[in-house]
Amino acid sequence: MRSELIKFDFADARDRATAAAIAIALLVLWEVAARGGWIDTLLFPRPSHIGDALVSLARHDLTDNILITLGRLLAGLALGAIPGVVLGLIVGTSPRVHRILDPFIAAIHPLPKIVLFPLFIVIFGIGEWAKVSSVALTVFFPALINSAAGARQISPLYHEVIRNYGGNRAARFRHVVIPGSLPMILNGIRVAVNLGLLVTVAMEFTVVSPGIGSIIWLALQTMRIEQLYAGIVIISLIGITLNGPIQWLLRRTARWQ
Amino acid sequence: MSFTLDRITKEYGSTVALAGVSFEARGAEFISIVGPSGCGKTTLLKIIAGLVEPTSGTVTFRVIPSAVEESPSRRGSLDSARDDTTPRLRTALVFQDHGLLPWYDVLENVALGLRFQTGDRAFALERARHFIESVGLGKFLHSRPHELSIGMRQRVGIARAFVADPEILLLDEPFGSLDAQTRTVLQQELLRIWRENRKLAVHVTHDIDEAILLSDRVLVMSGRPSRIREELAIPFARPRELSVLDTPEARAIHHRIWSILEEEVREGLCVPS
Repeated sequence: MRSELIKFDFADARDRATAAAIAIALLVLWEVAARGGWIDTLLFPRPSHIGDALVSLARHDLTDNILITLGRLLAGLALGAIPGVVLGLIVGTSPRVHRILDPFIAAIHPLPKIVLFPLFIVIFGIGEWAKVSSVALTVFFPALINSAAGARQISPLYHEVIRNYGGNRAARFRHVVIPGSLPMILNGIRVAVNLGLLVTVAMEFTVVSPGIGSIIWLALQTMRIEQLYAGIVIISLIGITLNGPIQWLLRRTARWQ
Repeated sequence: MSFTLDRITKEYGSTVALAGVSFEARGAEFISIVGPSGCGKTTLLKIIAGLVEPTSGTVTFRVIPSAVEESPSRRGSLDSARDDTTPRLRTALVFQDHGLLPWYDVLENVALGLRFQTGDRAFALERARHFIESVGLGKFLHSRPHELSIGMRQRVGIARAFVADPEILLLDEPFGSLDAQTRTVLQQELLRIWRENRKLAVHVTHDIDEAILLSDRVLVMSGRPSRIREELAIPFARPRELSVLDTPEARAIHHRIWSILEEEVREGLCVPS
């Protein structure tokens, strides 16, 4: 407990409080400007009305919609980012695998994978598989490329250290490749999560099915602008919530760098 | 354990690093190899360690029956509880710039070698902790390498090799990057730990006095393409104090080694003598 108290950083806490105060002040200014009629409330509705829209969404089926969006994202991450990390570590440690796979990666990586969504609809039908496949393919590449870069930048000295003490290939993976690449792996996962969320919401705009993207699109078509803003707020909150733990892990694992 | 190097050569493309190096090492002697920089000393150690393949030549290891080899001090603090059925690591190299894994703390780093051999992490950690505390680094068990001074990192690197308890200890200029004072203190410490855990040691350095202080035998290497030019016995009794370096015998040995090295270094730099 004592050490926790000593570690508490007052300057840091003060600056954070200042940032929060600025955010609140901006919201209050917006509210006042909207009430005073200085800005067009059709385009920029009062923050309190956006809050009301959020509450009314929450009373209906917001949780289900969030779970649907998150489910697509997480399924895509599991199917795309995990194989991406594994293959990336192999590519990063084996120059031979790297030489063989590099042309494929170079050819497919620059393509915005969302353009394959219509093709996936043709292949899988309009159900969940087309969406999950698009997310998986999108997140596969940042996971792969960052993990490969992470494994490649590890000094050969550390591999030699493990061999020196009689460690085999598995030991080198466990004690050198994985811990040494971990900051870059997490970096790749962070990019993958953000790109995955983008692609998930974009697909929900185009195909009528539940999900936060559809809520936003529906709000646009019915000109319920408060609800549109509410959808944006929810997406940001999802993004922040998913990024938080990754950032925390990054700070912890990158301490030795 | 003893080993014989027979006409070891190593070529990198058209560069001949080692041009037929042969010598024998036996018992629990301490051998230093001195030579001009870039003469392939590190490559030679890595060949003995099995980390680099020689272009030609052979390294042969022979187990000496333990009753003959082991002095009473070999059964020191590190060996007493060891299970005799686990095979011992043949060689362990202490790297020039410590080679500690930056993502592990001191304890995990020191336990690493023993952990690979025994497959028993808890046992290895316990032994490592004991050793770290015995060399006075107990406060730093959970520090990461980047939090330590260069001298301390090198001590941790040496501790890792002793905890792994190999048959043969290989030291690649372990004090090369240290200032003169730190170096002197750590040479004494190495001598002390080695005395308590006697084993065959092959040490590479470019510091002549360090070679004389630590060794039973000094091998002087030529510049590239490298060979062993001369072998000198260092006759001083152990334990040795730093003051042996001031004796006339030590000055004479120093002078002899330097006269060979100077010739090699001048030739390497094209400075006429």
